[in-house]
Amino acid sequence: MGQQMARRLAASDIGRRRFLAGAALGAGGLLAYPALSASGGSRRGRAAASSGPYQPTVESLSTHPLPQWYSDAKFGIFIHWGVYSVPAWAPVGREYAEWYWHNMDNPSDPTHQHELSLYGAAATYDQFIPQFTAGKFDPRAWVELFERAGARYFVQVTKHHEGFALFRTSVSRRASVYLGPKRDLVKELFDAAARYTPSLKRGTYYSLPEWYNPAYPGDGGSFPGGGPKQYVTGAPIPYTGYLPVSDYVNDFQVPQLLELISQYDPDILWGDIGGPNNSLPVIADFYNHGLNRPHPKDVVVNNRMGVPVRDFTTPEYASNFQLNPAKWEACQGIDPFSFGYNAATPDSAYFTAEVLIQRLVDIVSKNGNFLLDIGPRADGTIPQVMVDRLTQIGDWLRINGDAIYGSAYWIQPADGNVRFTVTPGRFNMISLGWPGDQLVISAPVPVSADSKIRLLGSHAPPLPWTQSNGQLVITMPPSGEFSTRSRYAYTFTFDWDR
Amino acid sequence: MKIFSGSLRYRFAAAAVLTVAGVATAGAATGAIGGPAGPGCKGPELTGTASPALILNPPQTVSVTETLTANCPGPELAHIVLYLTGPQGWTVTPPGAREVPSLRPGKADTLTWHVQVPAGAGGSGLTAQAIYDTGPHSTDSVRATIAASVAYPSVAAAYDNTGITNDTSTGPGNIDGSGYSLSAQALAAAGYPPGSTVTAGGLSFTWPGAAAGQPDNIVAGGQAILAGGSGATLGFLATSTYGPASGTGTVLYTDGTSQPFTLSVPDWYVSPPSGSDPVITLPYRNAPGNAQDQHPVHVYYLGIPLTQGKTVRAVVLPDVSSSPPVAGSAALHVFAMTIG
Repeated sequence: MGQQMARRLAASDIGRRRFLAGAALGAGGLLAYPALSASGGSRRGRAAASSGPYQPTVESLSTHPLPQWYSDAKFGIFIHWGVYSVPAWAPVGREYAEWYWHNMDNPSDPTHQHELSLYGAAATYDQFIPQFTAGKFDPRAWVELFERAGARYFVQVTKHHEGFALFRTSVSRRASVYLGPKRDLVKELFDAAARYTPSLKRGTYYSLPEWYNPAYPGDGGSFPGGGPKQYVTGAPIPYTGYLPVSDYVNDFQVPQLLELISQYDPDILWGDIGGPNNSLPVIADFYNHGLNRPHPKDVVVNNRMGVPVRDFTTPEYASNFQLNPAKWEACQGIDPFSFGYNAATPDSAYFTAEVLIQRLVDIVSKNGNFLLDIGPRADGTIPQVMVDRLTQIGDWLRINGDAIYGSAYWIQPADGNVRFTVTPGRFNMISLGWPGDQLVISAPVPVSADSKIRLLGSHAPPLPWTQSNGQLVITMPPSGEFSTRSRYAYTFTFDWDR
Repeated sequence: MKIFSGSLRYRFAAAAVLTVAGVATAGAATGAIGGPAGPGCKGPELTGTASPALILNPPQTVSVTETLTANCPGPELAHIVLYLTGPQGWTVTPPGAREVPSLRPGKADTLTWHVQVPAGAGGSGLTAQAIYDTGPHSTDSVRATIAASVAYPSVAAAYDNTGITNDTSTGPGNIDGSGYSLSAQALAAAGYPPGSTVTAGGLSFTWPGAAAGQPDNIVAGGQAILAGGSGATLGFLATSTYGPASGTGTVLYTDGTSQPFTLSVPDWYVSPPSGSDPVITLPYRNAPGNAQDQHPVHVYYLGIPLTQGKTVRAVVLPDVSSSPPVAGSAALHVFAMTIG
């Protein structure tokens, strides 16, 4: 993930301007695409896959409907796992640990001093690569944990800004199949999901730029390109595994994105940063790849591919949300401020289940999905605090999921601490925290005289209620919050015979 | 008035439409449950109209229609309710959710509401919402904004942008989406402190009385402004940021007739084009960070001939920009308006 939203948006804007400038030159850029696809064995058949209803234009791609499964899913798991999982360090709660390389190169960043004191002045970031072993990686356990958490999809980082791919790629040797674990970590996770948790949708995150790829043209900001430099001397150093290309976008970035689509058949393509790109043909290929098969499937693309095409927007580490009728997805870590594993973060600093569950409810009531991130360790183990949080969320969703999955936003998302959702045949009022002796609602909820209001997770009979002066007053069971197995957020639901 | 529909609109991309039928067939073969089906069809469409959409003199009853169209192949929309909500103080009748029979693909249904806008009320925009099931485990919502607005009693009441700041406090300024603004000190030096009289085109204007750093201009986005009076000319003091802006507005007369007019405003930062009337020229502009950019900027006079013998009731500004301004997009700013 990018370090700051503002920085990302700036980079994305740069990409858009460049793209538009390119488009103004005529169709040359787009026509070059089939020729590009035809080269390279692993990309054979690309031209066929890219034909179909979607054309590589903003106009055509903007007709793509939001898949029902994505609208219904509400909860997904993000996975940031890469070479940065080896140093696994950042100032707690202030910087992203997956930005370690970028931060260690900045003499005024605490990460620089951390690198000096632990690894010495002669170290390089790529010396971490052999320690990224994935030695205890259990993909089946991962996907079964995601399912246990109540997630309906996951998005795996397949290559972050460090440029280390976790998948088989023909355009670089800077990848987990050649270095480090010498395994295709994307294939292993996707195969495990297909076999053991087939209902989980599968997504690939891909950073369009790389900080130090020698071929990257640079964006004048956080992504300088032009090859890495030793962090103390500033001397040029190798970009391990790099295979020279002349055109970063068309010889490297686009081929890697097409490899992800053809090799792993993702349901979600989650780009990051934007910047220089040729994403229109990639997205057209992705949409058409979903349709050109005996049993077509609906796929979805986020808003960070550097072009004005998107199925949803992606607020990052935000905590105040507004209802947006256009679909959106909030992402954040369980860590207070990191997607990658930060070994310096004490368990006590991680977000509590209470905060995460209440945030999920708030997001869903406002038409969002919640993409919650875990940062596994370099050996593939998932820190227990993250397992615990996912399990707690899963416990909550098993009780309250009927008010979450497949729900729609109502005319008013919130009334004080209560959030509203609508599901088939039901109207749901979810209280963030136990309401006390009474739950009082001023919003014009669609109760009728014979409505029976029930508390999910409880065997208590329907709750007594009255309505006067536009206020609905529900009397809580005598045993209070202990009358339900739910914790942290409490669903009061009644039949809505629409 | 313009109708704004929700973001989920059918796109008429010719290439895509040709393929809809084939894809829908494929989708049906999988037995997939869910609303949208295939390229070219974004989902059910919600639209609406308000009549009148422009409320000059509340109290006023507005008749509002809301139409839900199941314009995509796929399952029917079931258990539908439609809602209509208005700005604070407006009363929607009947209130609450209204049920609509299920809609099969290609079908539409329309409901009508009556909205009471009480005396003294302002506000604009009605929110339409449809909620419906697309399958046994899926409920969806779609929203649309229906244009309906109460006219502003004056230009000052419609100010929605801060275009003038003190040289030592440029922070509130944002005339261009990039944080730039006119200088209150440069204006005073040119003889135009807040509330002063500006004479142009033989007309007498009152320059905005707002203190520096407070809203002092309207970003023209279709606002209606009451403007009683008669004369030969409707005059504006205006400028444009991020390029020239041009659009069509409407003069509404007391006899119920109307007169369209075109307002073409040059950019504030370029040399005034020939034929323009830059009534105010300042030697510099204010920049973010209490900085000054030593480059001249201009405010222009524009005059529109009025129909003789008629009395103006209201003026609807061109709907060419939105507030707040966005860098890279032209925005038309109105500081003052007069009839004479």
